[in-house]
Amino acid sequence: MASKVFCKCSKIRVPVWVPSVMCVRTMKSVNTRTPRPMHITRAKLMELTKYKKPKDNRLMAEQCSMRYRPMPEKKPMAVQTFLANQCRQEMVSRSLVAAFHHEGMTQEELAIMKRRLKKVGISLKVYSNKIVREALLGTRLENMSPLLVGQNVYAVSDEPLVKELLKATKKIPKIHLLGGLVENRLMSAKQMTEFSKLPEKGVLQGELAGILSQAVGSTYSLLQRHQQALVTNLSQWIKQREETGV
Amino acid sequence: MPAVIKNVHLKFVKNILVEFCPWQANVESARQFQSRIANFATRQTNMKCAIKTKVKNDGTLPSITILFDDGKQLIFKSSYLTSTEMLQRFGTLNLQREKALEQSDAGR
Repeated sequence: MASKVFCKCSKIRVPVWVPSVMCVRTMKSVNTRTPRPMHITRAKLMELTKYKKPKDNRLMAEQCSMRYRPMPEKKPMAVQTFLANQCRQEMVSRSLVAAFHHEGMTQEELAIMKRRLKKVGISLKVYSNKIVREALLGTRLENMSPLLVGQNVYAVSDEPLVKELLKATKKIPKIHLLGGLVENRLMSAKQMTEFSKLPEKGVLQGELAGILSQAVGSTYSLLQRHQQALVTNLSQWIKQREETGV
Repeated sequence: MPAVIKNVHLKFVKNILVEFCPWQANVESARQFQSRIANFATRQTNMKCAIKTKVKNDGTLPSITILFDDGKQLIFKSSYLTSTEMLQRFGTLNLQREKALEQSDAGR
């Protein structure tokens, strides 16, 4: 419907389409509710391009969104496994593993404790309970699991230096010994203090040997008693006869 | 579990004794209570309060004994309590005491 109106703005005269009917500011109320009917071509296109859900051929029971699904198996976290392996390496094949309960130590205090223990040849390890539990499960230290509750630090060593350990940790107020492993035996705190008071191994072995031989020795002397008595009496008699010159 | 339990301070406490056998099963709450009470911030509320921890091995049940400065004693037998419950109870007692003090101060 090109009318013969020309654009006035440009210097070149260009034909412009102007609608034949222009409805401007006549309706008091504007229709906002019913949507304007689409043109047939547009309507067809809209219908064609609609999303149609593919039919779900499963049973109704399977389709139900409230259906119980078993939780997917959680993969073990790599960091946790790594730390647990580290912990296992450091704790399981040792001769002394002592667990301490602490009341919230700062890094400085931990460092001081570590230094004190290192002078004696004991190393201090700090691991979270979850990791230690995972590390010790299935090893010979499995029965230490009741201790893995609360805030712990662990003192480990290759030799059973219980006496030195107790001496070093005596002055630290925030530390409380819970017990631990000493040479293949799990001990309580009290037992560890008793262990520290024992004399050296060689001395104890000597004592044991003495006790055993004492039993045998006493049996021997009891059996020999009569013969011994006879021999002493005879020798006495000989002496007496020599003295008297008979 | 609330992250901060209110009114847990040692201002009215003379001493605290925490005893437990670490190799027993139900000792977690006693140990956690001890950690919470004995940490630096709480201790600072009253430096005169003596917190003693006894690690024993005689099969007796874990217990926490709190001696207040007016002679009253609070004993928790913590086998089947959680540390949160114990701290909350302690906190409410502290609050009651504080309120009583305020009232007596206001009354004067």
